[in-house]
Amino acid sequence: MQSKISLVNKEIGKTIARSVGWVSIVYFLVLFFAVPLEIIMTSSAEQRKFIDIDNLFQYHFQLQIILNIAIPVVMSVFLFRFLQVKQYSDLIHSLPVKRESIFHQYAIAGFFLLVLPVFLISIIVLILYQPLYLNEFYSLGEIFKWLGITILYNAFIYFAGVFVGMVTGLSAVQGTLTYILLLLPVGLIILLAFNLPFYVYGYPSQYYLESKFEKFSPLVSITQMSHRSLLATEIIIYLILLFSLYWLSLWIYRKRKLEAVSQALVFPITKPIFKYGAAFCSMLLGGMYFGEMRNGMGWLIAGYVFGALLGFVIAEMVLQKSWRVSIHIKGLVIYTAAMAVLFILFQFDLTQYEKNIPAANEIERVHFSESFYLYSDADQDEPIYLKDYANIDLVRRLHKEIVGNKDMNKLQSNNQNTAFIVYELKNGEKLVRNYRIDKSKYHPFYKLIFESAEYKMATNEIYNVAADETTKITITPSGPVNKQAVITDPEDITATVEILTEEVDSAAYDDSQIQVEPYAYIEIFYSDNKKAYMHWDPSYIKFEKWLKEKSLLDKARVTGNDISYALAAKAADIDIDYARGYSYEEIFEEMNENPLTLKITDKDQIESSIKNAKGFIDGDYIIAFYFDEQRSIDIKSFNEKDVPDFLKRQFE
Amino acid sequence: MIKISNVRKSFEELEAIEKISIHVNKGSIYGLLGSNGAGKTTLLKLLTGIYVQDEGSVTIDGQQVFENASIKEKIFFIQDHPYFLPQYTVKQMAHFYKSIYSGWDHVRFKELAAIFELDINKKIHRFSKGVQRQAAFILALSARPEVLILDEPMDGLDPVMRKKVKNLIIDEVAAREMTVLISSHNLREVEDLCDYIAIMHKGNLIIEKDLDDLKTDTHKIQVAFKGSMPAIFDSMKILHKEKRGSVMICIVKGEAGEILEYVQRFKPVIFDLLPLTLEEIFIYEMGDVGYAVQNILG
Repeated sequence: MQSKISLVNKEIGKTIARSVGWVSIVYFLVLFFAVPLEIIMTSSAEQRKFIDIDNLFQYHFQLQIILNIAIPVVMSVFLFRFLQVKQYSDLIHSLPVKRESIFHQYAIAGFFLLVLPVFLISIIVLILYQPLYLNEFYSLGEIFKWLGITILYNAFIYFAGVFVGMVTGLSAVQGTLTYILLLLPVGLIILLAFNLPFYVYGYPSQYYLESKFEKFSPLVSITQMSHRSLLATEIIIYLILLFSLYWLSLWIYRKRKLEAVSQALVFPITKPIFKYGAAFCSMLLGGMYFGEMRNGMGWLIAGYVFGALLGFVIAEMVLQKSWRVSIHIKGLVIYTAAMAVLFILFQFDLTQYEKNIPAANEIERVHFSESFYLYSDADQDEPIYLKDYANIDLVRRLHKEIVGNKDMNKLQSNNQNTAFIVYELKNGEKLVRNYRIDKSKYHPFYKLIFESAEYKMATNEIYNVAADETTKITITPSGPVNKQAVITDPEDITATVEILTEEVDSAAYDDSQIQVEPYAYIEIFYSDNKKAYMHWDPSYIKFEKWLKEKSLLDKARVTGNDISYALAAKAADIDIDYARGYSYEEIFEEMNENPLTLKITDKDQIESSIKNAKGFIDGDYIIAFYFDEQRSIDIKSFNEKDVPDFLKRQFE
Repeated sequence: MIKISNVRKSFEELEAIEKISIHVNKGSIYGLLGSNGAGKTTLLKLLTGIYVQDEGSVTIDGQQVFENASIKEKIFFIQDHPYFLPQYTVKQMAHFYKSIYSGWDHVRFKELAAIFELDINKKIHRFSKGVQRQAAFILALSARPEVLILDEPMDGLDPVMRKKVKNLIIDEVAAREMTVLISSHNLREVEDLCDYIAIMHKGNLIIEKDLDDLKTDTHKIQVAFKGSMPAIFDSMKILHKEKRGSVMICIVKGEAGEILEYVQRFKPVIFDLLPLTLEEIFIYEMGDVGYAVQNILG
């Protein structure tokens, strides 16, 4: 006998509308509030002046995101309630309707109910477009773009919810697991990126974390829709995944055993995956937290053990639907063994990741800096690259040396410096590494690289300056003074540029490593409003001499004349509460009251103090300068080796 | 008509049904007895196509039931706790079934609703449990199924209503040879309705009997002889015998007249042929396992 049930049954449609129609209505109403109502309310000429909107997402964007993320999951959960309630499931599945037919009707009807409000809103906006002159803000195409993107996200999240619904037997788990599934790609990337450096020496986690990984989760990428639109490849991937999810859901539904209703996971095979997956992710999370605290290997391992146990227990609680769970020791033992094997495998560096240093002739150019951010947030359009064979070879050799000292470098938890290397190979590939090291151990390499002509050319703006096009040079002292040296005479300008270029040319790497505050900040205005910017380091003696000759020195930097007196004390004698925060006034007051403090009034002594003091107050000696004219205080410090002789003698 | 052969079904590690074979003829009322957890509901859900068996086959008219819409259209299943679409009225539920079961008889539906004095415009979940069950019956019978499957149908019905429902079922069976499967944990509840009884215990079928045969075939006799016991039992089918003093009590199978005539030949001093209650028959039939399932028989 031919079944009466064709593909579409009106009564089943009614049932669907009766059970989830409210979701549609709520979606419509809130969306109406968020978009058309906002358009209408801000339509007066007065208000239009203040509207800065160029697409539909920008109307109550946060609200739209919340709707876009929540509504599809709510829809999928309530739509497939009949799968998660035992009696409901028995009722529906005793009917003479094939599962395939049930699935198509429910899934598609749910989808239509989901996108119907979005369509209606689009139509309303289209109607408002002409009368409210919305073309002043955005084109008609933006409305269709909004419609398309919103529907795409809705559909993707909805079908992910449907898919999870087929796998689970509890509505609450369906909702939660959907979000976990959608966040998993990004979450795993973050967790792995933070954990891999502990095992893979040189793994540049920041580099991978910055590389637009947020596209991998719709829940994250949707938050960018107000300021970017989807790429064609993203749309295609979403569509492919969407259809895959649909067919996969159907396939799983046909295999679903209805007796497993009300179990967290319907298919027995998914239970261990869930359990060990949860243990693994939570283990990585524990490792990430304790590893980033950098308290040593012991804490890291403790983080792993604690994280894995927690994940394991929580997964068991979900599966057994009780907080009083019995833990299967055997499973834990197997898991621990597997992790141990994984750990050992990493030690072998099977892919030769750690030892892989490209040959010099394969390298097109190399970026070498002390931080990933100097690479990613370069001031220029492009980060600094070195192309000279000599430099490439130096970086390679340094790299080799670092890898060779792997064990030593890893053990030292106080390694303060970062070496960040990006090789761009001739075959178009990139090889990126990041190491935490103590750079003083690699001093010869640093000296050679940073003193090389190529490096200086790349890092100093002064080389861009043409003296004959320069109109003005200003020298602004660092410190609480209101003075500035200005050079406008063409001859002087030429001389200044020449001297500064010379100073930079001959600047030693070691001088750049002393944390002394620059004397002043130099701005060179040249050609069409361009500006070169540089520091005046105290090591630029020639420049200082030249300024003195030109009687500009007094204006160009803080001198003893600006300061009426200085107070000096051993840091150990002064009680500075770094944790609570401190003000210069407080420290000054305290130094003033401290009997061990030395008051310096001799101009020459003050002058020599200015030269060697560093900007931070973390040195062995603290020195406070009192600026007479401004009535302000500046506090600096000296390290043991930089202390002026007169102070050293006094304190001894 | 309904044929279940060598069906096995397990839930993860738990064996719910082990190698069961059942045959139900068209037009019969088949009672499935068993205590809680015996596997009755599982068997019924296999038969309804809700569950799928791990092994064996479940067929109606020679066709697999699972995922077979044209066969499932002939079946109507009422769950142990009748369930309806959320917030539906009886009338909406009727329309729903009408769109799904091609045999739906709307005139019959109105007729039945009138007989049971059911307010069809009221939401079903507002009804009491008993009325909900009535509603389920009305809807089921209006669908005019060839096979009606009832899981513990008498629960929650008062005696008057039970009688009404039973009569309805019997009428329907008589009128159009509907086949009925009823599960119950109480023999008394269904003995006046069923013509076949099967007893399940821990996933196994321990006994399957035609009730009419059983009632006419099994007898209790008390005999006493002067002197030694003649060898009368050698040629009789004895289920049970025990001796109390000089009186021998036996449960025997066979036609009453024949037994009477046969025993009389040995000239007993005392001889009574007594009727047996259905419970007693089952207990004797089942032998040792009988004690395990005694609770369903009382």
